[in-house]
Amino acid sequence: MKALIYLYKQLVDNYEHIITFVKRDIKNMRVDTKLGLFWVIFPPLVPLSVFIGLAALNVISKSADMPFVLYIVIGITIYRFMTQIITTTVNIFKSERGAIKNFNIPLVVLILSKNAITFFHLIFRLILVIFVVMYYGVELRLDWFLIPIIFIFMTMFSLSIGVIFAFKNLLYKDYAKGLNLMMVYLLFVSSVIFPFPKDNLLGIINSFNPFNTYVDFIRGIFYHGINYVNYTVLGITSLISVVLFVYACNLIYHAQYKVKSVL
Amino acid sequence: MMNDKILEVKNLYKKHYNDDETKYKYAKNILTTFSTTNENEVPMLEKGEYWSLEDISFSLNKGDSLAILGDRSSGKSLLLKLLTNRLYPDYGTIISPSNSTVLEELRLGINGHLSVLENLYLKAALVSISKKTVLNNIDNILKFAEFDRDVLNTQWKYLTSDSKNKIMYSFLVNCKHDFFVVDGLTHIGDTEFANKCKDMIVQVSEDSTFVIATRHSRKVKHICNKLLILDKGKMTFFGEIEEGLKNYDS
Repeated sequence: MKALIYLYKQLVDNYEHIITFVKRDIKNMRVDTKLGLFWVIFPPLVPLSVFIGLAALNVISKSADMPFVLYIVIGITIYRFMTQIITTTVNIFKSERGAIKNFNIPLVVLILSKNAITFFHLIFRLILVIFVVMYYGVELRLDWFLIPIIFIFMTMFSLSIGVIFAFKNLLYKDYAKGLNLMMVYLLFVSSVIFPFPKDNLLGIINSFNPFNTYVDFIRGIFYHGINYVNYTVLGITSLISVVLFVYACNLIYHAQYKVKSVL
Repeated sequence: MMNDKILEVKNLYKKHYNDDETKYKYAKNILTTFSTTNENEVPMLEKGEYWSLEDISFSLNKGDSLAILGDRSSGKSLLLKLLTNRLYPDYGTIISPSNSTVLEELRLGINGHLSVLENLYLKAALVSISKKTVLNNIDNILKFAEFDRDVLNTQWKYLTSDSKNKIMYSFLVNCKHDFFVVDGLTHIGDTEFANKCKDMIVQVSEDSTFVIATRHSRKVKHICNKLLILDKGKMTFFGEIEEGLKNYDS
């Protein structure tokens, strides 16, 4: 609790600086490009078009209860958000090495400002997702109120994984490399592009894969409403996310100054 | 008098390492030791470690300005980092003002794609200075750096190297915190501008808690009243500057 309050205070004290860092990153994103912000949409479009093509050719199995374009668009948007947060956070000691080593900027401020770009991407992409959802005849519904709540837990989970692996990566670079490989593998078992079978033992185990839970439930709420959600699984996943988040905050609280001696 | 103390360092020890194995051990320790306080007694040196600072104790009262003298690798910059809370000691305590302005590599943290004003804000964020302070001092910053307001919208990368240093120097001395630290005296611009910088440093040393680390004793004679001499991480003198310089120069 002490760590959470301390980090929260650091965020409040530095909110103005966070905005400055975010503006820097947004400006950097647009530097020397003609298409600027459109690069937010282009990268996910590549795997999207490939997977939609494969599904159309019946190379990969389609979801029976949802149009496969919708299935893949929502799946990739959410999965990409999670992996982007994780990757950005894992690389924080590399991307902000100078600031961490030479200034007194709290680590939590740097982590949050670096990830702000990912949130910015998410909002941009979610607007497009909503258009796609509506194109398939789904009307705006009150059930969607649960989505931002799930997003909070999903962000906590992704940030925590990123922080833990960022510190682990100080020991051996293998941690980040391994995690990157793992995230490629997880794409195929997290119901991102095709449904993972739920009725066998592997499926039951996989229902506790947080990537699978978050992707599947958010997409389910978008299309079917809140009745789609298995609250036991969501509760357990959220609890795991909170526990990991508290651990990650403690790690930052206790190690953010010590870490300078190994950078 | 205790109340006048603005900076106090007691039995400060800082280890350093010179091999990957020890670095790995440090990194492992970070992940396993959930403690923000350092040890109760001076830790033992282990294989691959050496003391980069050893048993440093001194204090400064309000109005004091300190010069840290020493050869290369004597631990001057490291001591400054510890005093400004940018590093943690392995043992000992440091009581120092929470916010400090550090005049060292001027262009650290700057982004070439941003404008001059945006870079001032960025640097301000890195050294914990508010935007309001920057805006309140913008005229002084530009006046000292010898630029007019038009420069604020110029992209940083199109400035000359000298102009960049002048602007950053001017920003740091005009928006400073009460604790001002200088790591080496850098020569900026032509002789006239360099003299202006020297005068500014004298002024800063008079109205803030001031610490400077350098290898050149003659440069600090007229700025500081206290002297700390470091030799291979050990403090060989702390006291009045006149007395200390006699030892150092001889």
